[in-house]
Amino acid sequence: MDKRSTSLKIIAGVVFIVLEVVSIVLIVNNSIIQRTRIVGNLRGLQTFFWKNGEHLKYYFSLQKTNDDLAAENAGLKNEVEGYRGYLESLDINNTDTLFSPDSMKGAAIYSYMQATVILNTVNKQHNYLVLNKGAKDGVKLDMGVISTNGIVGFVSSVSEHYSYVTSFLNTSSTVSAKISSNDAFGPMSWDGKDTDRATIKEIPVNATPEKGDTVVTSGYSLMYPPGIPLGTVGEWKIVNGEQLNVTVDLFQNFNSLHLVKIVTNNRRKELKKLIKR
Amino acid sequence: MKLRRILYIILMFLLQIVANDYINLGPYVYVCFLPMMILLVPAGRSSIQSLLIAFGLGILVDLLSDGVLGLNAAAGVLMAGTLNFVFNVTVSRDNYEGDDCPNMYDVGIVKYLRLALLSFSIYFIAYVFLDGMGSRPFLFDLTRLIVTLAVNIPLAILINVAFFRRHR
Repeated sequence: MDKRSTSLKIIAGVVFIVLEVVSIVLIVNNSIIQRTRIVGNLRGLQTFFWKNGEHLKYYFSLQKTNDDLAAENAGLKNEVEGYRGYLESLDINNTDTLFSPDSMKGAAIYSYMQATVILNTVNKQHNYLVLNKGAKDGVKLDMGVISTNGIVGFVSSVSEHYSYVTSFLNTSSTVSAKISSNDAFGPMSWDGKDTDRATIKEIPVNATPEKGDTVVTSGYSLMYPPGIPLGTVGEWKIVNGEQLNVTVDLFQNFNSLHLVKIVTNNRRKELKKLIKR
Repeated sequence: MKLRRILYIILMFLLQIVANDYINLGPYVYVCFLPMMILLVPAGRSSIQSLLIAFGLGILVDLLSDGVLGLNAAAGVLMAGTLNFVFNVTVSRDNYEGDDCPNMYDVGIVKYLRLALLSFSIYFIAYVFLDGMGSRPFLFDLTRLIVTLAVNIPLAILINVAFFRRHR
């Protein structure tokens, strides 16, 4: 008897929840105000869970983030040393003055802003990310987004505190890429299948690459600086007898994105003005 | 007994149609007979039946009114879902027959007022909240809730007098 009573209570609870959900679905489908409010609250809740989920994921991936930062540091140090060596070979005595912050002011074409990914999708055909920096921080439309392992996407919508980034994992996104061994370039895009692969098209047949060649950004874009490593050449095939489609194994792992950099092209206005003429 | 209750509920529907079409007391007052209809559902019925009846009646009232479909249903299901608890804290089960609905003459005016106040409050809080969804000032919603309760509770008393006085 007690068991039956408990079962009835559980069934009544389930019926109660089902009927309330049905009623609320009816309300949402029949009124714009209620739809906006209820869906808005649900989105808020979803963002809260995503944000905290990302924090948790980030906490457990700190080791990898540290390794990536250390590797990037080492790379930058090597680059600086290379420049120093180059300057010394030019017989300039006072390289410290040349590299002083004052002398470098205003010279940089690109500047970078660190941001954290609070939402990231990888399982759609049109994937996107949400970053914790917005218009208040100086983020504007069409700014590129990169990470230590390559490009991530570009800013396609900005609110006061957040920015919406169209991911490179979007079948309508392309980036101008070049094969560093022969400087052949073409548009690189994601085919909507593997998140760790992309394809460069329009590579001339006479610029056949070697498997394992590095692919970098060409710089023929207002969004991304040149020379950002994107991946390595995998398979390639001839299309229409005159062009190559080259498969690229991406460095970027979109499943574990956390820290990214928003790229500001400081000469974007000037370039756009020039192109418009 | 059952037939009489069905007739009462049909009568309430007719009153609801009249209220929707001919009674407009401004934005603060919502005359609704659905909570009274839910109170007419026999207390001896299982919660599942009460919930289903409240949902069905709510949808019908929504269809009859110009409001948002689902509003009365959501509030009605919430009221039906909490009705056993409300009965336990306001009227003693000894005061009425298990298969019957508690009325003012069986449980007394004070207990019935407590029952009506608590159950109607649950219903109209849900209704006013879902209807406004935070788009109106809190004071507006509060005033609307108080005025609506002030109108519907005396109406419930009147209906009790009309329906149950002869059958005491």
